[in-house]
Amino acid sequence: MKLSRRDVVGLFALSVFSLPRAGRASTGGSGYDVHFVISRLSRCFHSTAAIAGISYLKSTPSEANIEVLAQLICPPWSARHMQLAEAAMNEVSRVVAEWQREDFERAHIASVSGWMLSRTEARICALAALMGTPNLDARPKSWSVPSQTAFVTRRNF
Amino acid sequence: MYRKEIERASNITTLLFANVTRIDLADNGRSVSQVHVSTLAGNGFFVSAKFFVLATGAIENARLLLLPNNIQAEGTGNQNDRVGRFFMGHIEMTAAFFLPSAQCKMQLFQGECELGRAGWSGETVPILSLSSETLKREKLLNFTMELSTAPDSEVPASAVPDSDVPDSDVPDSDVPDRGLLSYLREVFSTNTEAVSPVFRLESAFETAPNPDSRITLSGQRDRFNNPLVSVGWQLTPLDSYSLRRTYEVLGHELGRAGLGRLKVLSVDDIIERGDFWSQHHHIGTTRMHYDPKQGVVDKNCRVHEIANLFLAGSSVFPTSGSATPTLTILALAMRLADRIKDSVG
Repeated sequence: MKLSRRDVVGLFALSVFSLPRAGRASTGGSGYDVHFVISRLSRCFHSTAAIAGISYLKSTPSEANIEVLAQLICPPWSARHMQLAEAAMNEVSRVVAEWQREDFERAHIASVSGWMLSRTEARICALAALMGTPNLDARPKSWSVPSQTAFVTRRNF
Repeated sequence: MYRKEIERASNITTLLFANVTRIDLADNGRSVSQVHVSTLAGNGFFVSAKFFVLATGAIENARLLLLPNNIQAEGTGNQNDRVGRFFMGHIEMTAAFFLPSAQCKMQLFQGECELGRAGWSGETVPILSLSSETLKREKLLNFTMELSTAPDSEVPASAVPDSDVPDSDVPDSDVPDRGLLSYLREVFSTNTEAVSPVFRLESAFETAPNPDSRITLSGQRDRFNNPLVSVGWQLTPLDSYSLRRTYEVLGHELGRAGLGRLKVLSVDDIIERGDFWSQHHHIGTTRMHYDPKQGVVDKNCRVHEIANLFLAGSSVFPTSGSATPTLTILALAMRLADRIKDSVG
């Protein structure tokens, strides 16, 4: 496969901005900072979310990774990414609620123990499960919490 | 319901405990000449008339027609092997539970209305259904759902879908159902609202017309030495698809509108276990169709090619809908009566 110069530059940019970075999260802009995304999404965690998250991950083990989940919920340079970047902290819940509504409209549904949840809702619960909520100890060993992102817990925000 | 009117009518003679045991056709096979009537006490007689109307329900209507007559061994009006076929009924099951959000007002489904329904005291019964546009677009069979509160303990902890996660990797927790209810209640809770109960969805479904669902004569005999029937009711893939898809559409819409979340059980498992029940609405078996090769009666409920034999009741329904059939039965009976009155002149 031949790549044009533009493709190469694009791929480079994608790889750089997609890498998880330790340190202070960016506040948005043109880059994709997984920590920033996670920190924003963690505003929506409910205290019991991990329960649903564990159940979701049991049936979808391929998503048992914080970075994967963050990018599935809020893909780099997507409209969602922009919405999240532009939302004030107190607006994040409203933005995510709208994503959930869109999920139902587009039939992006996850069946979690039979309950029909929006796919975004289920993934946010999964994120909560991976990031350390009361049910953290119930995680299987294979679920991935990269060391770079382990510092990202709700109490840090 | 109409007993007093029937008793008062000067032109009606009612014979109780009189069982029609055979239909005789005229020599040309084009009209009924008489029916045999027998009583359990051993008496018997014939009834001759200008018109005959069988109104004995979808199972017995089919049985009477399937009995060999003096002309046709295959039975009356059954030259195209249609009698007894397309047997349908309304199936009822609990295959979903609903947790409403705080903005979903459920008063109609709680309290006095709920009690009224349980006692069949004539209270309004709130029914949930999909719009006719949605049913048409999705090509779904009809259904109705009644909602009633259920204790949390009734919500089954359905199995988590199969996955390729090794057992050793799966957390040994009783996470699923009570936990998911806790989560959803937290999502939907407001500081001012009491904890919402879960609602059980009891659904009544139309079943698709299926020529292989049929009433046939069995080897067993009744007290008049006539064959009893065998009921072979078979659900089709369309039935289970329609059930599954209906719940999906409902769950999507409830979520989209922010009204709550739906838990759907496996419809296929429920059907496999036989964990559903019939509403005892026997429908089909002598269905209406303009083509004698496709149905038993014509648009006037007259048996094809039999000039003076009519059928009344839900046996003539070509499809079953999901509502109770009584009103449609009455409407067709009145229409038939008008037609016969016109014929008599």
